[in-house]
This record gives sequence, C-alpha cells and structure tokens, in this order.
Amino acid sequence: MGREKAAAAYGFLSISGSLEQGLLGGLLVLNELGRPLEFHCTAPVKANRAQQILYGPTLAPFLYGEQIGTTLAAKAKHPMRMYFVAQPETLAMRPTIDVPVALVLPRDAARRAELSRHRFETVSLAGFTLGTHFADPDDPRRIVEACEALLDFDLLEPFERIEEAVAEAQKTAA
Amino acid sequence: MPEASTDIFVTSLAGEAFAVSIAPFATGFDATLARSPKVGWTEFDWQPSPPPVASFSLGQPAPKVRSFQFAPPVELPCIAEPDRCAKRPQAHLPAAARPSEEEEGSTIKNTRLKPPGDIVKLEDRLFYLLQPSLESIFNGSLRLPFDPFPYQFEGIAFLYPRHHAVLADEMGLGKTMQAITAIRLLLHAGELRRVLLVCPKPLVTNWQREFHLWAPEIPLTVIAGDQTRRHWLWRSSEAVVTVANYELVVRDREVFEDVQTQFDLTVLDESQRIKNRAGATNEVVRGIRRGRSWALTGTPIENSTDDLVGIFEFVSPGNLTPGMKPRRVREIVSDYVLRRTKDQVLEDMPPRLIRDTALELTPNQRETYQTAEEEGIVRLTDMGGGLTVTHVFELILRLKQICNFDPASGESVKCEQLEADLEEVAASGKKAIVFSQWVKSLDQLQNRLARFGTMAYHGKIPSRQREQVIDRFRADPDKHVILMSYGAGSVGLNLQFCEYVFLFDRWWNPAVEDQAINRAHRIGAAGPVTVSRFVAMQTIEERIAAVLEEKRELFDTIFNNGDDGPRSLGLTQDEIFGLFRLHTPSGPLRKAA
Repeated sequence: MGREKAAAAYGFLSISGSLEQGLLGGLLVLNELGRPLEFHCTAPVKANRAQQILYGPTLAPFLYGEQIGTTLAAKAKHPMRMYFVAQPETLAMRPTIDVPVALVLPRDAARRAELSRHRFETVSLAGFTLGTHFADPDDPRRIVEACEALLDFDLLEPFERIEEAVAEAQKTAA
Repeated sequence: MPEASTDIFVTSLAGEAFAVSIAPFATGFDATLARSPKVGWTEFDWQPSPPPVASFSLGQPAPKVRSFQFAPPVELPCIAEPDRCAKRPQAHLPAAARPSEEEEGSTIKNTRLKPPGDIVKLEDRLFYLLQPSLESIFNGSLRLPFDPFPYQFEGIAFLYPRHHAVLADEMGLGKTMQAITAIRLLLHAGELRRVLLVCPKPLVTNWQREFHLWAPEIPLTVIAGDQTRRHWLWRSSEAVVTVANYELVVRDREVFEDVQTQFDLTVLDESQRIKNRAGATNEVVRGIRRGRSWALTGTPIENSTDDLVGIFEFVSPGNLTPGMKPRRVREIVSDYVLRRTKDQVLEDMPPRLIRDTALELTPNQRETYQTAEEEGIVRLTDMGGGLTVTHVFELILRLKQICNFDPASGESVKCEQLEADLEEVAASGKKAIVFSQWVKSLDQLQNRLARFGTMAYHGKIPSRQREQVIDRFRADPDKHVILMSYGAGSVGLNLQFCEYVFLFDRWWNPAVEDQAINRAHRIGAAGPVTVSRFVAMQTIEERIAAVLEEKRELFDTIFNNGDDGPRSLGLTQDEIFGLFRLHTPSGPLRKAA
C-alpha cells in the first residue's frame, strides 16, 4: 500500500456496554471511501471497586479515553488523519495521541441534550456537529482539513458497523 | 505598693457635683501572686509505631485487543472509465443515505451486508459486516441511474457475500438489476475478475441493455458467431462479464474442459432451465469451473421440489436430494434462497384482485361435454393395461376445449361472460389481456370480440410483428383487448398499462399462470389489476382447479414457512388418472410421449 493511500485513513471508535457490566471498545479504520482497512476490539474492561471510589467522576474518561481509546489507537497500523468517537468520555484520549479526536454528536435532539453536561468545543461540518477536546486549540482547524475528503460521508454510520462487529466477535468468543 | 488616696468627682441625680476620696486596701492575695510557682516533671519512654496503611493500585494493564486487517479494494483498470464513473447530478441519485440535521428524527435506511451462515471464519464474517451500507456506496464512489427500492438493496446485500445463492423473486421485481448491481460492486471491490452470465437466447439483448443502464463502465463480451469466433471469445482473457445463451453453452461444452476457462462467478438466469438433473444443460453448467454460483428464477419450483434439486446441483451440489420432504427442503435452502413477492415488498404496488368466475355450460355445451366425457372414459377403461397417461391427457384436452367452445354449436358460456365483462372494460377506457392455452380458441375469440379493437399475440404471429402489435396495443386508445397464448405472452412483456387479466382457460401450472398475470401486475402498474379466472362448473376444469389450488400451497411450504404440503406443483400421473376416478393400472405406466 502506498503511503498516500495510507495517509487517508480515519479511525472510528465506539465503546459499548456500561461501567458496571464492563466496556467493549471497537476501532474501525476506514479509507476515505468508507471501506474497512482494520478492525480492533478489546476484551471487556471493568473498573474494580477501588477505582470506582477513588477515580470518582474521572473514572469514565479514564476507562473510555486512556484505557480503551489509547490502547486501540496504539494498535492501528495505518497512519491516522483523525479519530471520530461516539462517546464524549472517549475525547479524553486526545492528550495521549498526536491527531485530533472528534465526537460525532447524534442527530436525535434528546440524546444531544444528554451530552450537554460534558464540556467540549463544537465544530459544524457537512451536516454534522462535532465535539472537540480542549487540549489543542488547533484541533478544529485540523479536523476541518481532515474531513475535506469526507463531505459525502455519513459520519454516524460506521458506528453501527462497529456495534455489529463487536457483537459478532463476542458471539464467537462466547 | 504605696497607699495614697485619690479624689474623684461624682454627680448626684439632682445634678449636684461633689468630691469622694478613695484609697487601695492591701490583702494577702497580692503576696501570693508575687510568689514564683513550684513546677515538677515526669519522663516517659515513648516510641510510636506507624499506623497501618492500605494501598490500592489504581492503574491496570491495557486491555487485550483482537485485531483484523483487510486488504484494500483493488480496482480493475479495465472497468475504471472515469467518464462513466463520474458522479452524476444529485437529482438523479438515490435518496441521500443520511438526512441533514434539520431532518433529525427521520428514518435512515442503511442496508448492510450480512455474512451468510456458511462463512464461519470470524475475519471473513467481519469483512462483510464492516462494509459500508449500500446506500452510502451508491451515494459516494458509485452511482446508480435510478433509486432502487429498499427490497432491491436487500437483494443486492443478499447476493454480494454469497458464493451459493438463488434469487427467486417474483417476476417483475428486478432480479436483473439486483444481480448486475451486486456483480458491479464485487468487480469494483476486486472480489471478481471474470463473470459468466448464462440466459435464454431471447434475453441476451435484454441483459446487454440492463448492463449498459446499471453498470455502464463494465465491458461485456457476448458469445456469438461461428465456432472459431466463439472459442476465441470464450478464451479471451480481457473479458470481464461474458454473456452466453444456454444453447451455446451446451454446444461449446468442450471449452469448459480447458482449465483456463474458469470464472469467479457464474450466474444462470431463468435457472429453471436446468431443473432436469439428467439434462445436458444441467450437466454442462455443473461442469463450469467457477468460484461463485448464483441462480436467478421467478419460478424455482414449476412442477415439484425436485426442480429445486436440479437448480441446487449447480448452486450448491449435494445439499438437496430428490424426494426430500418440503419441510426439510425449506430448512436447507433458507440461507441460500431469497424469495419475495410483490405483495410483500411493494407497499405502493396496487393490489391484485383474483376473481374466480364459475360458469355453467350452455345446454348445447353441456350435452357435447357429457357425451365426450362418457365416451372417453369408456374408451380409456377398455384400454386396460395399455392405458397411458397420454391417453388420459388427450381426453382432458378435448374436454377443456369443449369448455371453451362447443365445436358443434359454437356456443361458449365463457365467451358470453367475457363479452359482458369487456363491455365494461372498454366503456371505461381500460385495457385487458385474455390468456388461453389454444390459438384456436383465441382465433374464435378474435372474431367475437372484434368490436373491442381486439389484437392477437401468440405463436402464429411472426416474431418480427410482435413488437409492433404490443406498441400499437399500448398506444391506440381504441384497442382494448389483446389475446395471448400462455406460451408466447407469459414472459418478457411489460403490459402494466392493462388493468384486467382474463384467464379464459387455466394452465396446468399455477407458476405459469402467475407469470401471465404478472405481465400486467408489475412495477409501474397504474391501478389495481383484476384477474378473472374462468372455470366451467361440474367439468374437468373444476377438478383440475381444485387440485392445482392444493398444489399452490407447496410454494408457501418452502418459501413462506408453511406446513408440509404436496411435493408436486403440477399434476402427477396418479392425479391425472384421478380426475376421471380411474385407477393407475397395476402394471407399470408407460411414460407419456
């Protein structure tokens, strides 16, 4: 694979499950046509009781961002232009990697309202609203540049694929 | 401390001021205060131990990760024609796969690939699960000339991941488009490089036209010409999609013995052509070296479940065996066969109203009929062991013809009813198709129905004139009726501008009747299609209709999750004998000619 094609890879990261039952992370690496290049998924991740007490409100960003997000990002073979994530807590992975991370906000108004307690900056792009981490003020510009090739892309659709693939992998593991 | 008095001034309540002298008074307490206190101390040996501490490790090892890599798609240079692959204006495209944020809450249809049950390796299953939705593919890198129906997307998603598949949609639902689009996607994904499509000879040009419409960038090679040219075409390494008719495939069978002649996918259109497992066509297509095997048919079962066995000998050999119970057949084929009817998938499709018109023969018809039946049964009975199904069949045909027209008087209760019905059709400016098994009956009808601008389309109409007949019937508002034989008019015609279909007599097989009805009841139908099935009461027609209705349930058994039904959709020898309450001769029956 040529370097040029490899450079156009995008990561979509979604985490399912719950803090209580365990979290399952899935990273889908796509080319700019939306075709799959890589898929990585974690074993269930669950915080122990001490972590639950002592991390307090920072437990979710720790598990979503550092434990799962960063671990999955480290597995990607293709150089990534950016990551799209489905859960706001996963934005916490941003300080640990070099490329921007954007939360793709749901279309559903009620679900968007639920996210209002999380802090992030927003960027509007081709019909989608993206949330970005505060770590790097240059991220919104970098995200807009990275998304130029994705203007026809449904940024929410790859998360459906991840959910099905994680479920399939779980079914096989069971 | 000196003891000196001090005068102070005090004012009385009356406002009068006067002086008062005050002096300190010495006590023993003052001396006590001036004395130093007496202090003592005690020493203790104190060595405190550190308090117990509980420590918790808050970090944890990184979670285990399973990783899968997928090869990127490799475009074939010979199908990458930029001018034809170029994006077309949005107005011509399928509805966008995603609504804008202003349309939030609207339903997004994403048709996703699902791995078939026979793919067991997780990596392979994930490969299909992780492909983008078809809608997003056709909204991005590839374009379609028209918006497919959702069920057509589902059909494409069904075919795409399958190596063994039967697309058995009812006629008129667009099997051709679904197959072409699936082939197109697989070619663009680099999963196919050579495809062979086999179809009946009259449909070759139709496939060319459909490929040009739905996949214009894919080059076609049509097998034609003399043997030398055909062999050269068969072996052409540049061919991407090769189209051949069944006859030429059989005639050129030796080319398939060459190991170089192999295809990543072989598609059989109208695959009921290979239902006979002992036939040459079946044998030859089974010998084609191929990676994937797809069959397209609107009538996967024409006569019995064994028809499906013949098709599966090509699609997935060994899965079905002759004589299997329908329930078992259903279990086995469920992951290989996709069957939809218009009623199931086309919500906007106008309804098909079936009306059985039971008619009492005219007195003259009845007399002729009874005489013919009684004499016929006596003759059959007298034949004893020499009786064959052919003899019985001849009697059936004779009786059915009498039900149409009395040969002695020319009377026909069916024709009278038809005339009455057509008065209404013509008065409302509508058009009707009348089907019959016999050209002779159609000729008689043409004379009686001339006032409705009646036209004819059957085997005796020269091929070169047939298209003109259809065009004129479609365009001329004074032409209200077209008479068709089941053989000539039941496939390949689009007559969706007709709202009435009359089955003047019944065919032997409900599947063929359905095909005939579907000439009018198909995509694009203007309104409800009313189907009138004429049956002469207390005749052989009534008995055949009863048997065939029971047989129709076979389809439901296998494709619509019904209970076990009869295995044969057509009439068996025993059933033909049973129509006259004759018993199968004890000796072995000779096969009908």
